[in-house]
Amino acid sequence: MPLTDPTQDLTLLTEMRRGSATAFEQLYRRHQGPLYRFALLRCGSAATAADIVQEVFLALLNDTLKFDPTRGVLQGFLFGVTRNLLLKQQEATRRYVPNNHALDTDDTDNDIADTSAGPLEKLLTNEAAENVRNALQQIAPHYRDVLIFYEMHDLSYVEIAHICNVDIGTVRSRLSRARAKLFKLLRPDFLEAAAHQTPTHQQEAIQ
Amino acid sequence: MSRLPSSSSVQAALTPEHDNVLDELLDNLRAATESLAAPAHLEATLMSAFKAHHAKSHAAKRRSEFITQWFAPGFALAASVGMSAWMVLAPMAQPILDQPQFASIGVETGISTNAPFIALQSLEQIALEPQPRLIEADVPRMWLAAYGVSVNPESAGDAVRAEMLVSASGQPLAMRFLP
Repeated sequence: MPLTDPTQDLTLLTEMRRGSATAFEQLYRRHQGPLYRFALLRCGSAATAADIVQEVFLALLNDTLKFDPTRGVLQGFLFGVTRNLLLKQQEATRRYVPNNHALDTDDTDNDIADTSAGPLEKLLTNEAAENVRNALQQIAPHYRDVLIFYEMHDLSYVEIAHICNVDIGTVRSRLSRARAKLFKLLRPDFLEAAAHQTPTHQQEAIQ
Repeated sequence: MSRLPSSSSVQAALTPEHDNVLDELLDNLRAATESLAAPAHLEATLMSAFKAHHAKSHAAKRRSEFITQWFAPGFALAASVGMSAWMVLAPMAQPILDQPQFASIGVETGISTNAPFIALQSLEQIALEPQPRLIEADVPRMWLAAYGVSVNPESAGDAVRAEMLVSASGQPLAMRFLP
């Protein structure tokens, strides 16, 4: 389910192309938040996320994006553009680039992201949320994308498949693996939380 | 309850209890991030970029409208009488453009005066113009057809760069297409 009204988006886009600054301002305010949050959780850097969002909207105002309303809604299109920009940025800095054919195999080496780029900046004051965000950074990007779109933005499998240019089965598979990997990374937190709240016989069941 | 549909064809890797705990943690992350937004200065930067982009486009549009208003009737007339030969000023251009009132045009606009012009008014009228000026604009490629230049229909709507010699009142005097 899209977070913004597609018809209103299209109206604003048309007015923006005719030179309406107000329309562009409204489009920016409607979409900057979700795009920024996706970019932030995806790359782990507030500065990079801001740069990416700026690049997306500069391309929109220069009319270089060529959005086709017959092929989808604007929000999904902008998510796709954001994701592609992040992929380019990632490929430019990454030391290990997995073979595309291996992305969705059972090879567990592809499930772990390359974290050799440096320590993650602390972004959230909520410690539990920050722990989950850090764990998310340790998941491979193609799993992370799907998890963020599904869990943080309520996008459907169809919408995610369109954005990531994969089929729905691949979306389901990546989401399931992403959740499993995330749980594995956060497991010590689970056990600690369970130990403080749950009677002994139930702790054994969880483990 | 897990957010994964029960009809999922992918075998769940987590138990329902683990799913529930993970969902709570993800809900917490969602709540902690839902108020996050791009830096405030970004909007101001983009609005400035938008205004600059459209100011440039508006100026270009006004030039094109001016050219269309003044030159379209002339080109339509030329095409209707079957003019297929260039009426070039080449042998005459230098003497005319050497006259004092034209002396500074090329310098002001930075435009080369070596290419031949197409006269749209009589040479006498052009020579008598006290304050001519050169402007540069984009015109439809199809205008070339009025002067015997073959134009691919697929690219007829494309724009070509042209220089226009106009009078002080804006009346077109001559023009040339730029490569």
